[in-house]
Amino acid sequence: MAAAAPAKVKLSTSEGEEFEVENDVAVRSVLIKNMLEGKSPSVLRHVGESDQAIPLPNVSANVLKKVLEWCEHHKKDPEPLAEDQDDTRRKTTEISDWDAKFIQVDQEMLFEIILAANYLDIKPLLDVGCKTVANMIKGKQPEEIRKLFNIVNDFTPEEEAQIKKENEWAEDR
Amino acid sequence: MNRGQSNQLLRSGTSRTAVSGRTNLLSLPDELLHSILSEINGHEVLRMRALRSVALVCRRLQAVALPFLWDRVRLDFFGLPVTYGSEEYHLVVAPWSDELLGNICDSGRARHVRELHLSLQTFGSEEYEPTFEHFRRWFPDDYDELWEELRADHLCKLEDMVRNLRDSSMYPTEGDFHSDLRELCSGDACFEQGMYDAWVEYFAIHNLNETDGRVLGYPLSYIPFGDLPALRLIDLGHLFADRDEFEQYCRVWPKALRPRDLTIRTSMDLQHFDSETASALRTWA
Repeated sequence: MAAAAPAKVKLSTSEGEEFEVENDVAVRSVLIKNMLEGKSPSVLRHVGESDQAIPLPNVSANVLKKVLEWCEHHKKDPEPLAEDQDDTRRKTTEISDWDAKFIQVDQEMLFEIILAANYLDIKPLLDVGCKTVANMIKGKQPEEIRKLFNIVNDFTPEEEAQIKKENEWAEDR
Repeated sequence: MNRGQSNQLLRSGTSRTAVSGRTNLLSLPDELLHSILSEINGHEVLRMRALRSVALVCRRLQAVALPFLWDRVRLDFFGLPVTYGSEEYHLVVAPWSDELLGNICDSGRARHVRELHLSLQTFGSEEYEPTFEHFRRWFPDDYDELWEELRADHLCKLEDMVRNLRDSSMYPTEGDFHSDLRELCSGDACFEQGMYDAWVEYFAIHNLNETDGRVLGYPLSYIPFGDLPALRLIDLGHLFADRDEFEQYCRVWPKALRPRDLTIRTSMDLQHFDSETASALRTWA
């Protein structure tokens, strides 16, 4: 039987820095929630029963700080229904004003947030990140996308021409 | 919590500049790149363009975006897979399908018309159905044989159709129906087109829903009205449940795809609609 959830939870970042947060903030992360409920691997099973910090080796302190800011703001949000995950939530590119402002970070932080949201299993935050990147991509030509994301074109001219030709039906109509 | 870092970390309003740091777009695993691509919403054309642009950025994004792009291009329309590289995909049938289908057929990706089983399935309101003319154009060698098979099949089904029409208020007698059917088929350059139209009308008359309407696997909701030589308003009355549904149709379908010969023959044609909708229909027609 799972132990009663503590009022506060300690989280340990990749650098070993510890953050103490309210339980209802931390459980926006399904990963942490499962750990606290004893659904995670045995090595972590007792983490919610003591003041032992939950290790988050894939999340750095500055990113966790930002993620927790999001979790704090959204701690009272209803949990998304499972069936909403792939359907309802994908029907819009709209991002709330607060989330839009929250995600106004430089690209490195943006992608770190996306990775962290994925690792911590915070789907609404992952959505915000993915929608933001999708909105950055929309309406841009390949060269503009390369410039925006600092990506090197590694196609040979022949390859690029071939891809263009094969997919020209998706171009201007 | 280490509050000393907060000012440094909360960089709201920072411009989103490209970085050469450790984490960038290409740091994301394919799964997350897929998630991003799936968030590219909007009109189908814009989605396609965006995916194509992503595919042209670099090899890594090509590997992710191109299957994604082609996956949007479903050809369960025909049940006909096409090969791209080592993978099989399905073709999309979109508003520019004449060109798309031509591109695909001309490139040899669509291999043989005999593989088409005409389980015509829908792709959504923005999309488009090929006609027998398309088949004839791209598969001339197979067309005659295909049509013979189809015609035999259709004739059998038409017999059923006539039997089923006995209860129809639209055609109180079989003679009424045959009269209309002959009218539809005669004078039509393509007998098959007339037959096809008759089927569409049949679906409309019976107000079949998507599940029930798949006699040809042809969902009623996405009938390409522009392809029909004539569609009487009374049929529209069976197609749209209410004004909202009709207006949704008007929004979605470009004017060019609306019935070319929509006529209001009698006030009875409008009996299915409330006065407001009937008025809108008169204006539209």
